[in-house]
Amino acid sequence: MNTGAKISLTAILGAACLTVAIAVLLTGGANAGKAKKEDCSMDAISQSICVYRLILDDIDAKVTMRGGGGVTSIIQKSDDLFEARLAQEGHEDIRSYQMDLTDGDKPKIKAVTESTKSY
Amino acid sequence: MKQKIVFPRFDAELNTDVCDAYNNAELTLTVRMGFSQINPAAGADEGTYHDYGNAAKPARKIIKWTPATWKAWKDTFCSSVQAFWSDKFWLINDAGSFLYTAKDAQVYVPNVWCRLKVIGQEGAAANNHHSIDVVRLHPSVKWFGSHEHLYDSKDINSVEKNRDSHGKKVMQQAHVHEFGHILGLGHVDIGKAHCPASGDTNASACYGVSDVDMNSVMGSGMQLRLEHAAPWREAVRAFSVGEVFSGSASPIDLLMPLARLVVGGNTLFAVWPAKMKRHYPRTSAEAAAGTLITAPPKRGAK
Repeated sequence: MNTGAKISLTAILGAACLTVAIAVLLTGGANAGKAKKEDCSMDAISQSICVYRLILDDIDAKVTMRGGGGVTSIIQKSDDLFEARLAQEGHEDIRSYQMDLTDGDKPKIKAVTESTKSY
Repeated sequence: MKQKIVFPRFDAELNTDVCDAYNNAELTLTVRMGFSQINPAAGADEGTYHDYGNAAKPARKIIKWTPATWKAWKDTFCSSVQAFWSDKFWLINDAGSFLYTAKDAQVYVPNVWCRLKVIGQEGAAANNHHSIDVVRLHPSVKWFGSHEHLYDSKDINSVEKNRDSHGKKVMQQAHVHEFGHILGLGHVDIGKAHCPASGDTNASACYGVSDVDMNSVMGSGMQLRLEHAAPWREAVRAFSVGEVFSGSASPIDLLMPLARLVVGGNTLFAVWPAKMKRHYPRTSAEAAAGTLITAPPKRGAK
């Protein structure tokens, strides 16, 4: 192997190591998802994101009417009450989420009620 | 004979001139649809319009209609609706109405073939049964919030409406479903526990919870069912009772239903059951015996 080839191999290995390092930094490693879930109580933004994720996961799991305009809004109506609106032809499906926020680390959905706004 | 009755949702015409030993009476419902364009403001080529026409809802990009695209859209609307709903049902004549003597000198009890005619005209026309405004969506826009009087140009396309219990997409053309409402049909699950008639019958559950109901055209799918013949049944009952009062049949038929039983039915208690297969006219004896004829029968001289 000549000197030029050695330099090229070193450069390739170096670039590969750098790529892996950046990926680990960005994802926070293998425990990234778990760490995020445990951080729900860190601050208001973290808790909001946890609540909205729970609502979105619930919609994804429960709603079979996948057509229409999708989720057009999720708004906080009171401390522990959130409302998601799903646009459909001629109406909106409204899902109201009563949240349990007593355990700041792990927000839970306490109750879901469904209603409809017709146009 | 051709008779006409005007209903709020449609005009109905019963044609018994076509009746013979093989052909039934034809009941045609005519719906005059009024169409009006919605274009971008101030004559612009592009603009926006809000879902449901409600300024608080998302604005979607729209473009200006051209004469060619407008005509094509209206023509497609009318022809596809007519193709879907017309000529799909036969009503079995259990009333003994509209008897006629064919060329073979035999008296027949005709069934009724259910037909539909959709006439597109300007939205401002005074005699429209139903009028809609239509936005033309920008090609980049996939969906717009329509309602019964506000459509979008993509409402004639087949789109995913629901997912069944196997995760399979349930597809529907919105305008075909909406036309069911124009004819007077409600959502498939109205009256069930999850969709009480006293509540908002536009709730998603009303579009069908079970796979079978979900696939109904009055749910989230495109399947016709026998109950969708209800508008024609409503109309034919009116003709059947009217036949007695107009003198075409004896009033005694109403007072003494047994008189009609000789041909298998009576006007007041008739159900006019719907079928989705051609049923040929019956002789009085065949009707009295409850015989249903779905294959071309051997008759006398035509």
